[in-house]
Amino acid sequence: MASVQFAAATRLYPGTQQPAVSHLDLQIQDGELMVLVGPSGSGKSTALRMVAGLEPLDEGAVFIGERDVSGVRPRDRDVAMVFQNYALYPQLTVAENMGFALKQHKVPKEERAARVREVARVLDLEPFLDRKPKQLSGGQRQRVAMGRAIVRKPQVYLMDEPLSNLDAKLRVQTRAELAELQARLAVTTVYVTHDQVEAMTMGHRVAVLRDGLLQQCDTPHALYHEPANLFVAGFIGSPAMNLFPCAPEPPLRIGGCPLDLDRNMTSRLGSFGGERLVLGLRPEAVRVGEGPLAAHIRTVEDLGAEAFVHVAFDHEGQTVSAVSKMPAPFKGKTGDNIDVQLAGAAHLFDPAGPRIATGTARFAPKG
Amino acid sequence: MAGAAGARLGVGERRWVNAVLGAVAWLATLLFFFPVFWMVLSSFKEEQDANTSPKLLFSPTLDRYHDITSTTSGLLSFREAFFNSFWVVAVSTVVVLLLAIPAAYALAIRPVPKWRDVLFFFISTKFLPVVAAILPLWILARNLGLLNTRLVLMILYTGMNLPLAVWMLWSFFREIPRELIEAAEIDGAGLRGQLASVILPIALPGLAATALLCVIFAWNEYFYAVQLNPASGSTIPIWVTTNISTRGNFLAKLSAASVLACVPVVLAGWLAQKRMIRGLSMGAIK
Amino acid sequence: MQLDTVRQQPGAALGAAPKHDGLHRPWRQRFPLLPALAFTVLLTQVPFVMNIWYSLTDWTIVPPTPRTYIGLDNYRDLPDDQFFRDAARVSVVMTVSAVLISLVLGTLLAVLLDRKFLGRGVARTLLITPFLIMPVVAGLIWKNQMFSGLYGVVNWVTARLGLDSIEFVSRYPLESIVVVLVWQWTPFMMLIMLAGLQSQPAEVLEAAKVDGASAFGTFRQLTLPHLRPYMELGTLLGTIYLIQVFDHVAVMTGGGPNSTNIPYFVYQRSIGGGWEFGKASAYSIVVVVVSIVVATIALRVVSRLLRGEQIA
Repeated sequence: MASVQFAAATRLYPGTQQPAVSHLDLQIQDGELMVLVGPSGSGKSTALRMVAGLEPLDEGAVFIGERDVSGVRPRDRDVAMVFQNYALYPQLTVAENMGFALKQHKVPKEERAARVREVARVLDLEPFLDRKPKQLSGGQRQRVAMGRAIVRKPQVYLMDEPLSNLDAKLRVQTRAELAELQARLAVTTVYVTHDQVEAMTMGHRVAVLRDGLLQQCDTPHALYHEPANLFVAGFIGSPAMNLFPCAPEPPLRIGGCPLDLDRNMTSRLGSFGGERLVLGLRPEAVRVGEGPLAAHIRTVEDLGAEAFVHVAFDHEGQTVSAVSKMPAPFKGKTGDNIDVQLAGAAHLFDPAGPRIATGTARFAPKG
Repeated sequence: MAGAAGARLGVGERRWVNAVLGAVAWLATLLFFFPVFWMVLSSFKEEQDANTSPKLLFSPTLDRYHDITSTTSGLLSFREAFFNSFWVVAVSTVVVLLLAIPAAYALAIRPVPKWRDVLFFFISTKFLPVVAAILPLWILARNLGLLNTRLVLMILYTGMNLPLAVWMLWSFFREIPRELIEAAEIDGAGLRGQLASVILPIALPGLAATALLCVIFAWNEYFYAVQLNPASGSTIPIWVTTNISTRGNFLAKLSAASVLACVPVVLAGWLAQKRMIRGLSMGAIK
Repeated sequence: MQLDTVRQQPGAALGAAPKHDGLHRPWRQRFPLLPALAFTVLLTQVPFVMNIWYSLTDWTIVPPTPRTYIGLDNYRDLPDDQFFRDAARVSVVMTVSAVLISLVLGTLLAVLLDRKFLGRGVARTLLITPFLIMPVVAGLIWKNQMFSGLYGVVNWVTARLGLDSIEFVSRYPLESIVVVLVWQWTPFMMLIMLAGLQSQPAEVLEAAKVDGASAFGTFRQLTLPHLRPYMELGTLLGTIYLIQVFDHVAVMTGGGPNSTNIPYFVYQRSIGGGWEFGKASAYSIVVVVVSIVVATIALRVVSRLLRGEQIA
């Protein structure tokens, strides 16, 4: 068990201009489940492979515990990895797959068999120990890949999108099992995914990456309620945060209707010198059926317990859309005219990215 | 792409390992290529240079090439052998393609019932030793007056390369997305139309590779040629063997003849390199 | 794309073929196949049948005798024919050694070429050249330039090492031929094994790295098993081609007790000077039968191809 640290870690693929990972500084605590999340090309897999030793560093260093492992071979790093496509050894049985690493490290046969059996029991793989990977279903293969990592009792677990090849239902179920397992084993885990829901539900902390640069590393709660910049605000949370560009002179107007901001936001707004501003509110801060703003419904997504209502209205001469989260049952339908109320947690962003202020905002009452 | 992962210098791997292995690879390459290199070298030597202990330094000359390409009456000339080979190979390859393309269509695109059996039949003809057929073929050829003609070799080489071509084209045609064929069918294209507008354009590289392989095997073929056409209609492989003489030195001349004989095929093989393996493995390997 | 699994055979178990099926009209479908099929059948089966007929006669050309039916006499005499047995032995030794040695060498070269190094493409191009060389040329060049007792390159090298000059082809005819065969066929095996190495998923190799396997350990435990079907394919194809070697024997040794293989032997007995057509046909039939047996054993590999499984 050990901590993992990236110190200005950089990787530039030969022949490319932009680094895949650029000066990444990240500290992962012992026993923590750190999720690396971001769109494709964000560098999250590259960063993971740097820890594994499958990707060299062009600058900076990677530490496991106190040890600088930047130039150390993968097999000498004591890390275990679960690959996206599982990478099971095709000609070996499930038992041999799980015992492979132990065999390479010259663990005696009896101990190997015992450890494999133990892990197989935990993962419900006992009936499959003599089968070959091609005889297993996707979910079973995924568990074998996990088992192969667990049996090694390494210092660090590395997981590269381990659930993305499972069907939706199995994914949700396995997600919970995985999180539970990690908590029980308490081994430092670095977990890569492109799915922000997975990131938010599993990680102790989540690191959001984009184009090789770290955007924000924080607890899921902080990411959701205090996004560091526009990208994080738009990436985390589903449906995405509503973002409205507007002029920075108070009062801020959305769709022509003035907004009341709390004191903290107002003072930050005062010291903001830029020409434009972006106001962000999550769907739960947007309500329809009441309010001063006139809009019409574009579409309603009825999910049973709640509904996401997509509306459109005029703002600064253009038609913009917004999403509102309303409790079920919701009575409106496409084309209906409806009123919109903004009231709740809000964020102000510099259009270039950084967050300026967070607080509450609401439409000024009419009249 | 797979395998390439093992080819790069991994993290923590010592740099010199790669360099040493690269050097070993080059050593093996040079050793393997040496006889070819030596053959080319010798072709530029005077006979006395070639027929003494191996020498690297000498004054090069093109005389040997002149010697072997000048026509000597009564003997098989380079010109005659070359034209025989050229026509036999060209015609047989074209006929092979004309026969194999529709056959591959019938096996891959719109498979006939029992297409597996048919494919197996084609490959089984390769199992049977060529030598077993030579006697009846020789008798047939003699009775039909086809001995010592180009025609008999054209027929035989077509038969020799046909299974290979059918297998190779079958494997290439199988890769064409079925939607394209169905779209062409709906648009009214029959066999000819589908071939012309969909199949051949896509499979063109595969077609070229198939043709190249047929050319290689037909050009290099010696057994049938020497059995059936020793007197006339003789091809390049036979011509090469005539450059051995029991009187006087012949090594340099032989080398020159060998170079001339091999150049077309070696060039064809270098060009078709990447696709060659598919043909050689009867489509088993891409 | 697995065309075979999706296509229904017309008239298959689902019941009678649909009455008005515009898409599948059996004879129309078969038509494009017929020319190639007919051509091949004629060219292979007719000689085969003729061989059977001749083998049942005592036909010789020199001295010319009337062809009379003698039943299976030719076959009865076969096992006593020492020359035939010798030729069979030579064939087996020649084929097996050439196939095995070129397979091993080809695998080694493939492993070397699988890594990135300077000029790798050029090296590969040079390495496949021996396979492209005309077999008669290969035989002649090796016989006269490499192996020659007087001015052969090989002897030049061994002389530097203090050994006597050896006339290789006369002293070791079979081995000399095998050397040339290996020289020509190693590139073929190399290409097949290279395809095998490159078809291994990169992820599996990376997993092995992370799991602690050494380079050699990975090769032994993972790569070799993965290469097995490729080795089988190489062995099968190599055997098919090498069993029929004629050119090298003809130009290097012209026959002779230790280097006459079956193809050359049959040639010698028939139009190569023996003119014993009846007997030669019997030999041919025997060879064909043996080939069919070998082919049936090899059928397993072929049927894997036909099930649509491309190995790579």
